[in-house]
Amino acid sequence: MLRFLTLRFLRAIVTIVMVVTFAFIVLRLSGDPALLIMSVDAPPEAIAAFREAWGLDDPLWVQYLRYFNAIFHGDLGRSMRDGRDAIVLVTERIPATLALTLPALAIKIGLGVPAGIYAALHRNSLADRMVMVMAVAGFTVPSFVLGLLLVLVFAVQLGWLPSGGQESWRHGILPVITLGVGGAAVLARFTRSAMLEVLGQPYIRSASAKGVPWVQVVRRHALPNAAIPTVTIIGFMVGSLIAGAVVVESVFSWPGVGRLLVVAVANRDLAVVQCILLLVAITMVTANLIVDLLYGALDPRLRAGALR
Amino acid sequence: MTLLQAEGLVRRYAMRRGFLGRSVPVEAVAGISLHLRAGETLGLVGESGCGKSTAGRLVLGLETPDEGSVAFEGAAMPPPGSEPWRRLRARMQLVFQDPLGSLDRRICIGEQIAEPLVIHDTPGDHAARVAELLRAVGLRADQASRYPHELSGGQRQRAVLARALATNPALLVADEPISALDVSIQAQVMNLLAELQARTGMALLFISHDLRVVRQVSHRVAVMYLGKIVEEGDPDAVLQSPAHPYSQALVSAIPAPGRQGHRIVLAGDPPSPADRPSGCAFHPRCAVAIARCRQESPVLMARAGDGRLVACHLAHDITKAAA
Amino acid sequence: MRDQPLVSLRDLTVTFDGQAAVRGIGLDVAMGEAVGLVGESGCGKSVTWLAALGLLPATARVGGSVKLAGEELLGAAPRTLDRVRGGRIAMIFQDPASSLNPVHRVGAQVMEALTLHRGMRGGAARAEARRLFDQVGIPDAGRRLDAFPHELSGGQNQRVMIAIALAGQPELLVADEPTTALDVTIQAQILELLGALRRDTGMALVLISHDLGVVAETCDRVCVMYAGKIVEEAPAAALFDRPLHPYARGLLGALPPIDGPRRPLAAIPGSVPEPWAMPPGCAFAPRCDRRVPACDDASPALRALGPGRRAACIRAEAPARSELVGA
Repeated sequence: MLRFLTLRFLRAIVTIVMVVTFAFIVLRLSGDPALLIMSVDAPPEAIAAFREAWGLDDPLWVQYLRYFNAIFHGDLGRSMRDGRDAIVLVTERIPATLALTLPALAIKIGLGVPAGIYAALHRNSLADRMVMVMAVAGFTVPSFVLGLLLVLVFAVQLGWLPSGGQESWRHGILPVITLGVGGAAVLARFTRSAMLEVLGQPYIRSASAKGVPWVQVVRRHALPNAAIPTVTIIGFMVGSLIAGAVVVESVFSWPGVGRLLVVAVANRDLAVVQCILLLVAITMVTANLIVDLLYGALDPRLRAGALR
Repeated sequence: MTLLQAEGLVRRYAMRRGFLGRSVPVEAVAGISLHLRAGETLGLVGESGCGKSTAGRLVLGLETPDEGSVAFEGAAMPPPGSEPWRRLRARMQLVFQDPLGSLDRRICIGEQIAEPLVIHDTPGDHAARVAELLRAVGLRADQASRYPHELSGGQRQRAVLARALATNPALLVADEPISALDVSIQAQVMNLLAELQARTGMALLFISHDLRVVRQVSHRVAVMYLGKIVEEGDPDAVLQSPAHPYSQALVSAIPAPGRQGHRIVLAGDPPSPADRPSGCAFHPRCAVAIARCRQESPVLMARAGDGRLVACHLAHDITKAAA
Repeated sequence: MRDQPLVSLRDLTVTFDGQAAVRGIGLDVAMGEAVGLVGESGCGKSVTWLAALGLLPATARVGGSVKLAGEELLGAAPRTLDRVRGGRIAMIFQDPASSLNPVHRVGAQVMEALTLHRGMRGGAARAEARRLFDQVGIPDAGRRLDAFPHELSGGQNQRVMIAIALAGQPELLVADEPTTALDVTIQAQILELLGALRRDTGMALVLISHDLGVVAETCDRVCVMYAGKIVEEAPAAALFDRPLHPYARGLLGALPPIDGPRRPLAAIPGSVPEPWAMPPGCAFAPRCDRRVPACDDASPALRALGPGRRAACIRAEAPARSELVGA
């Protein structure tokens, strides 16, 4: 077990380092922050001074090493725009994002999983078809379209809810729905196919053959097995709690991490972008790690090996 | 003339114990020798995991033995992937248990049968050859345009055989070629194999778990247990008076109408090659094992009298007692 | 003294998407009797019993009648069926590894049946499960109860399935190709076990198999099925001695002998008709070497041909008295 954990942990670290490195290189190749922040017509001496102050005149590998050294000392750099610590800038936005993504996750699981199970158990029924149509719609309609549509109906036409901003809980309703519905659709589809797969297995038939009532066959024999693939998707959703709302936050002008990222990328505010990506990588990887451990709990075929 | 001569083949795999356990070397084939003459069929019998399929792949040069050597038509097996090795593919072919799995679902069978001809650049009219092959395996020439799913299981296996025979191989390795087929179709394919062999003179290595099927098609039978040959001889003789205790159990396990009398039922499961018992690998399940069997691995050698090859310390004593 | 058969199938039909898989089966199983059901894949031998126990998916249309000691099972309430399944009639399947739930311990899967059918729980259920493991010959039963299916071999998993089947103390065990996925020596073990259990418990056995040899050794009476119908029914010994239906004869001829001279097998030409292309008359006629024009007129019914023998062939004749075996 310890060996298993250590291995997974090391793999997680490698993933994070790769993400950070990739972000570092792409950001620096895709535009000069000095020009963007100082504006193109700034005097060349000012731009040079800016570059020197932020170490942008050093070779890329020097910058890279310096950056990593700083990370290991807990220093994630400062924003080039207002000079504040990037980590502070980012963390103060996290609550706002979680205020959207956590309720949305609840909707995804609370709506998607039961809908998927119901559809699978009533395969080819009207309800199944409806769930599948909704799922495909939720799957294919991009969140900005759905968001704008909701704004058009509930804010512009009906005037029931505000179209953007973060003044009250009512402002959160539309973005949460936008986020939740799409995810619920994905999860419903996934749960349905996982359930159908399991229901077709011989052990379901043999459970019926030994006289287990159908409700218990579903609860005791089908659900635990169908949970195994479903947990993967839920884990992915948990992993995107921090960064999964970029588009929705932009549509609803919600001051969360996602909007900060969009602004920071546009400005080549390197430290902030890298800080967010690091955070995203860490949450993703942690969620994955938890999923791996859950697999062990759900599926004895994996657990037995890990324990031996 | 000996067509195929395989000596002392050993094949080891690294097997992981459990999910992340340490990998241990496992001998799937633990030292076997096989000889085949042109026009001869050797039946290789054993239960799952005994190494019979690996043996087939070693003989074909699809896998390289860790020890031992394979010689085909008097020349050593060239290294896999080399040009001479590739040319040799036309001379030796393999058919498996699952005909649907070895055919490409998207290509009509005629094209698949012609494929080896194209690969090996065989001169002549390929379409005519395909028609000839289809007729040889009991299909109609017009069935060349059919796709695998349009054929029945037996017809698919015939198509697979036609493809294997396209280049006129000198050796055909058939790995459980009829196990997936229904009884009445099994008989058709067995008859077909015998007929094709009589016509082409190819040698056949017939791998199966079914002793009665092996007896039906083979000139010689070799019984494998846990990577080794434990008995080899004439199929009728082996079925009538098996010498090795494992062969005796196998023969007695054949379900047959009207079988009466005592049946030898082996206790337990065949051990995993990863936990090869000391001495004779069969001794933990053997009813007549003695102390020597636990320590000393018996060698496959000719028995006094009839010359049957047996790897059992007691084989000679058993026959003496019976005589 | 068999007043009433234990299980009685009458005119059982099963249709999937308009295509008939079982085309009218009539079969009685007496208390304590061992009946074999033989045929090639797709002949409907498994579907017959899945239909009888209501184990087919909802898309299957089942007609006719299935009576257990006089009580109709087709269309019975789910609660009635749940009491019968695993209680009075148990069933085991071909692939033991996938017939057991991979996420539950095998002991728990036995105890589940004990709770359902005998109201046992906790320590009592565990003790009984352990006894059942001993009975079906699982070594080290106490520890094996806590194993998961993937930790056991195929043979041991089939023993677990049999232990589950025995948990409800059934009057009939339906074994659907119970040894097909197993090695020959393990097959011998399982057949031996089924025989011993039958002697000890007196339960009836329906053995479904494609292997004539397996059925011949285990059963008193054999039904040969072809294309969704029973084409011959006979005492096991009599059937193998002198099959009356050309298909039964063909199946026996296709079996490689264990001794005697080796000659080409008498293979049945062609293959089983697809359900959407069923011949108008006898389904076997296109492959039959004794076919006459009348064979294409109508699907022949089973006719009595001597003691305990029936065959569905217009050309079959009862064996002469001197030939009768085991009657």
